[in-house]
Amino acid sequence: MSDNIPFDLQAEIMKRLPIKPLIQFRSVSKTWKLFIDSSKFINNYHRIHQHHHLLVSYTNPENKSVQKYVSIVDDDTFPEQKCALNVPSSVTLLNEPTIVGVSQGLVCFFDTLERSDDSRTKTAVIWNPTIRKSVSVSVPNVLAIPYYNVLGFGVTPDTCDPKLVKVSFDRSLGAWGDYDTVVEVFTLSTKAWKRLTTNLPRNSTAFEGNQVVIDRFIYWRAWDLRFEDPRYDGLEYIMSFDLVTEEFKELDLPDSFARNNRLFMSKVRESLAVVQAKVVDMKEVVSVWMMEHGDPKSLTKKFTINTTNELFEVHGFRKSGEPLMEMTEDDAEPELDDLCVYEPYSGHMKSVGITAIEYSWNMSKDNVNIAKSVDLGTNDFWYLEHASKQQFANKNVEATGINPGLIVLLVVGGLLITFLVGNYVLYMYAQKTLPPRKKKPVSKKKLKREKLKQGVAAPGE
Amino acid sequence: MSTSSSSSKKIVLKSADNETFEIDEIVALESQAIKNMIEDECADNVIPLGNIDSKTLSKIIEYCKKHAESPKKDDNADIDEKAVEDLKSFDAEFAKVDMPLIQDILMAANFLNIDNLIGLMCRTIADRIKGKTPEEIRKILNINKNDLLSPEQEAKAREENSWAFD
Repeated sequence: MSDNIPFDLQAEIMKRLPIKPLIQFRSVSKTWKLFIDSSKFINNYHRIHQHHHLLVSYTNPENKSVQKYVSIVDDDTFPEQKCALNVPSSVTLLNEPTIVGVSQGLVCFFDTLERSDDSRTKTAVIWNPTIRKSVSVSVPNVLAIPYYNVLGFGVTPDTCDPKLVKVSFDRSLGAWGDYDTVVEVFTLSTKAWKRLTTNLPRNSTAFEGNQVVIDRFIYWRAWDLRFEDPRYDGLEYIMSFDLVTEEFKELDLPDSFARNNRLFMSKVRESLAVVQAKVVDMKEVVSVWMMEHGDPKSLTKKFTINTTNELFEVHGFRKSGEPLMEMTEDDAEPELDDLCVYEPYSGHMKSVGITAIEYSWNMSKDNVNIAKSVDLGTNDFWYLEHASKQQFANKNVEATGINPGLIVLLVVGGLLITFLVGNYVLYMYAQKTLPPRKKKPVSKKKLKREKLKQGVAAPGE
Repeated sequence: MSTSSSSSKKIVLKSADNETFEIDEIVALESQAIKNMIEDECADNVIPLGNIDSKTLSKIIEYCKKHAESPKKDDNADIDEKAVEDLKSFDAEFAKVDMPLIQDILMAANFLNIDNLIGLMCRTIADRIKGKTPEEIRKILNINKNDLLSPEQEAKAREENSWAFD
């Protein structure tokens, strides 16, 4: 019979275990628990256990009030292996949860509901789907107007510390350049927001909410709001935020991209994918470009999307580089769209098998690594759980307010009154200072449809 | 004396129960430990392996023969996909033995420093123990009693990750 297996070999066995038994085996022995919980082991474990999933969220036609989340395994079997994901209850509690971004396997959601009477504090949720833990973060000083705030999310590569960056442009106070651009950064290890004062984005920047994280940078599509000045009219560029140095930088796009385009950005492996829609001879031509090493000069055209159906919208990419697109059939039910994957070489279009309400799609721009968990910088594998437990405990006190203890009642009552008065004051302030709420922009696709109709009608005239 | 000129040279391994195995040197070189001994020229014609019995040793030689014959990954870029598949199915068949023998092979592979075989055995063990309870793992791997968690610690560990116990 064999001697005991030495610990270094036991460790080799542990790192080959699937996540679920591994977590159960924390109670095998003190040595095992200490070892499995160590950040060194966790980091090593990630490298071996990689399953790439694409996270897709949409509104189901049967139940319009519920946002559905599905992960699709992105391998040879695509799109056969789909599985419905239960997002944590902290996400379903948000009024209008949107996927902000995905970084190192963590998913960040943010409440994007815009209401003029909204309180200025909103909630973001950082979720680790591998170990099913989440933490809620209060995002302070959020303005109630679209395009005036942007929230970014990324995990700093060296420290594995998740960061949120929030930019608010308070444009209500005066003419261009007179207002405040407030940038605040939250790090999960410190659990605190701090305000940045240098290397901020210029005041006339508008960001698109869709972000892409590559290496240590968050990228957004951005444009200049000084459209009355021809130098800036319709000028587009890429805004980057360095998670390590906490600096913003503008990346100028080549002229052919910078003006009169519709751009969409996503990620294909470690490259930035730029989808460009250009109108040529009354027809829209959509092409896919790749940018390497964060340098717009390296933009190279990969392919043009050739399809007879022109009503589509790219939402993301497989890691093989095939775009995932929302397709509208002209004779289909007006509100329902299919998600399809496009094969660039054959020009073949294949349905992923999900149908949803148009414009309800929200896709992760990166693979969600379900088997991957991130060391949260606290050397504590279970940090997310404890943090979210505390958050939920706080929430319960606020929500119920029925507590036999008189002191608790008083505290809660006090909080409630402060909250109500505060809200009223904010509301009055908002009424006075904020401009009327901007209408939701007319959907691009509706515009496009109109445009195409006109385009078709013209030759017959 | 150079080692590269001796590809047809034979090496004799002697097991703990004094059985001898004559193998090609190229097969023996799968073991990093034997390779080092040969390179340091401290290997006699017969290498005694006092802690490996003949049953385990013959399995290990079977593995090394197959892997020595197969083209190496770093030899050239375009390896025959069929050869890779062939090696995979060999490994799968090879691992179909009982748990005590797997553990013996793992220990021997560790002593002889055969990386691929260590990996294969650890994967096999992981695969076989993944459905077991922590209690069964302690028995299989003979975990020291002094290293056990207290009932309170164990309850806490369970609570911390209750989802894994569904």
